[in-house]
Amino acid sequence: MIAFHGAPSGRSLAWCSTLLAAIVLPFLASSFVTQDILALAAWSAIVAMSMVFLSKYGGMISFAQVGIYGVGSYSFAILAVGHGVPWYGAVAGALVAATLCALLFALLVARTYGIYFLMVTLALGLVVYFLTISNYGLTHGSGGIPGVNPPHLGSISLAQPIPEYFLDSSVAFAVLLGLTLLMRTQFGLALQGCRDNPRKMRAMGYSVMSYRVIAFTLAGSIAGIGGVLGVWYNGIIAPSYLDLTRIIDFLAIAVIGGMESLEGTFAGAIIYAIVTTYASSFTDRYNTVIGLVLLAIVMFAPGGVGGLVSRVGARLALAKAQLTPASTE
Amino acid sequence: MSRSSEIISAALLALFMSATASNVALSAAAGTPIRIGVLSVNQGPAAAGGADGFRGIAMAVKEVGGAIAGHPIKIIEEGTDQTGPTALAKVRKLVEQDHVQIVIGPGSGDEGIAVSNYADRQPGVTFIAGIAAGEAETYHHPNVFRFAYGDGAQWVAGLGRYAYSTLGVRKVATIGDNYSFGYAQVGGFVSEFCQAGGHVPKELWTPLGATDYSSVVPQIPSDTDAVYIALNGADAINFLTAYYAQGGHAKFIASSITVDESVLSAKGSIQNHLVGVASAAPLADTLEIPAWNSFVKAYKQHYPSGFAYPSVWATGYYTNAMAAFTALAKVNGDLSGHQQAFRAALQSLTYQSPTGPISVDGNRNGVFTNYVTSTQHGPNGTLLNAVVKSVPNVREETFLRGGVATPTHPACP
Amino acid sequence: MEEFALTTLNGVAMAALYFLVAAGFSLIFGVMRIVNMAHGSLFLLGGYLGWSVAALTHSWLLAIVAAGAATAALGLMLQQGLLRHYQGQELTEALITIAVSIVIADLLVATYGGLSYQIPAPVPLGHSIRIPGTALRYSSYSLALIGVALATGLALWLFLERTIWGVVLRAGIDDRQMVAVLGLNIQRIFALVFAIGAGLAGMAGVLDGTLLSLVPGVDSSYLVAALAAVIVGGMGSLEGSAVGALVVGMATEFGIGYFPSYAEALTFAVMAVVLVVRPTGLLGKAR
Repeated sequence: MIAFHGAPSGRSLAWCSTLLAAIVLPFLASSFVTQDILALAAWSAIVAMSMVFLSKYGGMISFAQVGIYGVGSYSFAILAVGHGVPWYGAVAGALVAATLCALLFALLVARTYGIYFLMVTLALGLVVYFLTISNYGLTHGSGGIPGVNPPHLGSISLAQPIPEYFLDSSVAFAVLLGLTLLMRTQFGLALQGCRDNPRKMRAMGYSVMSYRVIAFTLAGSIAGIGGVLGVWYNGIIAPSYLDLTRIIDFLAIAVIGGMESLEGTFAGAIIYAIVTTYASSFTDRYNTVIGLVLLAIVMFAPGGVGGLVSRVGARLALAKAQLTPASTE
Repeated sequence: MSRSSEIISAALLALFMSATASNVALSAAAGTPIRIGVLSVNQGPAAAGGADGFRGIAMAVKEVGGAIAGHPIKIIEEGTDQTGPTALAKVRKLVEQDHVQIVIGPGSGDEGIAVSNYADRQPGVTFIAGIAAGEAETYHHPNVFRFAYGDGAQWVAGLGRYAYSTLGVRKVATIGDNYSFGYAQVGGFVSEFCQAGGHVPKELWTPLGATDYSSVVPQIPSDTDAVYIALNGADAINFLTAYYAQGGHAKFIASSITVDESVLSAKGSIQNHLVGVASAAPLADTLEIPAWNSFVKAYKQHYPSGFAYPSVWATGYYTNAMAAFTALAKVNGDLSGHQQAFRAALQSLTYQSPTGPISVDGNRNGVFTNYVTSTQHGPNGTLLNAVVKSVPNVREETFLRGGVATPTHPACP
Repeated sequence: MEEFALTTLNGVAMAALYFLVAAGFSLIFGVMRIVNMAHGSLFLLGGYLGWSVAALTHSWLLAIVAAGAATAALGLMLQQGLLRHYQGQELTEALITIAVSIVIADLLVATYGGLSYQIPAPVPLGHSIRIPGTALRYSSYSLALIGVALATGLALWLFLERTIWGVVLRAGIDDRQMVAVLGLNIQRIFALVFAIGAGLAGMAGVLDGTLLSLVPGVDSSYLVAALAAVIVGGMGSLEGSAVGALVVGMATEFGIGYFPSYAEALTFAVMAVVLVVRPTGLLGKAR
């Protein structure tokens, strides 16, 4: 990070080119790539971001985010398809439901830490999965609720590749920006303090519990946003969207991107979408390929793509600084 | 924030190649290939059956010589894990990336719901179900057809009446997998059995994939004439194991999936208790019609390491593919104009399938001959399903009069 | 009444199986802080291997020994080859085991396909017997299973309480740094615990393949059951695994017997209640 401080022009150039690429790419790419790689990656990244946010700033590795995302998806589907609520009402209902579910989970798990936290949240995520299977009256069991459609804005259907891509990616970008800015506020700094040294924060009069609960609830709202965009993309929600395999899918996205890098989730989601889409064209054993890719990243690039890029960036900056020693002062 | 841009641009940049490379335009000139996507299962418990589905497709392609009216058939296969999310991701790839014009598949009910739902967003593509047998799956989806074999209730057509009038059974308890296909397989039996005058005092529903049924067994009432089982694969095996470990001796009637190849060829011996049990299915191993005999012969010749008899997967996928090929031949492979001519040909087609004539009703759902069967010993310690009775012209609307089957409908306690 | 008694007995039998899976899972967690997400895969792998050995040799005893030995060896390889290099990095270790479980599950589907496999029970245990003093008949295999779990639990308890290894191990659970400072070879203990845990999982796979059946998917259902058992009972405690397995076993059986459509949700509802009352599990130490 420090490496780039000396070269602000390079950084803004990189930002501009990224933004340009993000705007131009969907017009060059096929509709498949726009929708089923890029748009898919954008909303998946939101769910993964809720995971990475908790891990990076709160020190909490939560496997319950997919369950909460599911609460968002189901709430939207039940309201919009089952009760004919207009889309904006259903979106509001979905976000409220996901947030409340996250608050409930937060109150259950706020007193647990570390790897224990991981296990307990995994179990809570599975509770949502099992409840969606068994509560036939509400969720229609394993078949789920089909017929979910994203709204039309004027004459534009958000189910079309390019509109869906721009919607999903701008929401994802807004979430990224919002979280990053939030972490610079008093609240963000205190949360990070609670992560690093809960005892000291407690002594200073902060309620560590409250910060953890608020952070978890906020992450739940974000997962809920992913839930709404996800159910629009899929057109259906069913228990199998929340099972252990799917929990691992989103975890893999977070890990490939880097558990310490919010923006890495975009790269993680794109890479994961590419691998899962194309690996099956080469081999029936594509799950083995996915497992090995995950293993390789965990073992050889523990920071994920985010960590890799910052390492390369730091090395480049170092080389540059060594090449031009006089120009720095 | 400082490295966000690098990360994102690096990833986006990597996409440009595949993005531009996949932008292939298609024209409909004569001799252009007809692109057909096939969805079947290749992961999880149904992987063995799913593989048989791909075999059925290969047999159909071979039978028409790999081309129709000069258009070579290009098959693109994708395997799923029998869940909606995977089926949806794969069908999106087939339609949007591989630009298939026809999709054949998927193979299970939950996948079928997801794929039919997706079909609404792709009106230009024709979807023909594999053997996904969810109820009312083709309703309101004008581009979704399903020849083999209608829905899960149709698969047990004839069984309820047979149980009442031939087996003399008056009171039945049921146990079924708690999901849509289980409801359909129980519902199909119950609606017929009730109509015949029987009673079903208790319906038990257990979670799909439950392991231990020992505590379910005591819940089965002992004062009924028979117990109807609608559990699939490992669930059926686990149930029978628990049932006989507790010394049970009820008379069983089985749904199609409880005596299908995945149960009959399981590695063990508990399924031998199923010998003599009545069931029903859209096919039967010992069918004595020439089309079936030659299909079985071809199957055994091509796939000596396959199942002892072609499974419902192989037969169903084959039948749906052949129905599509026959309709395509009628329109000379013309898929232009939103495939209207092709769909009209499908609608009016009666295909002579290995298991008898098959066509579709006004909702594009299969009308076919179903078979009441009985499980018997085959050669070399294997088990097979022998024909007892054939039930022609099985239509979906017979079973849908009171709506789609649920855990509480139909009922006659 | 008889129904209730039978369901209770079924709960105990199921708990016996869960205990064998959960005990290893919990020990590995207690000593190394590794959430072994590949534990279910080792379980299923052991079961399939047992089936193959039984099919070849017609010996159930040989099957269970071979499966236990093979999965113990594989567990040792996993620990020594992959996990040892990431000691203390809890998330990395959990992720490695997740990746390994994906690969194992896929390779098992490739090798054994999707059919159900049942291992024939050893001949003397193929029948049901009368429970002394009652009119109940019960499967002798299930009763033997309960015996095996009790014996395994006792052996583990003796190992932990009465041997020098056990003393070091328990000290390691309480305070890892202290053990290392004392100059005890903690590495060898880590390896041993992982092998024991993996071997128990593999043997449990054979026991399950004999009691019920083996099919893709039971790997995750037993992993999830073990997870629930150790959360309820308390991490890293042998007694906790036993209590947790009993609670989960009972919840499973009473759930499927009396509220079948909510059976699985019930297990987790019980777990949530325990978490609210005692966040570290019923017998877990406060952390």
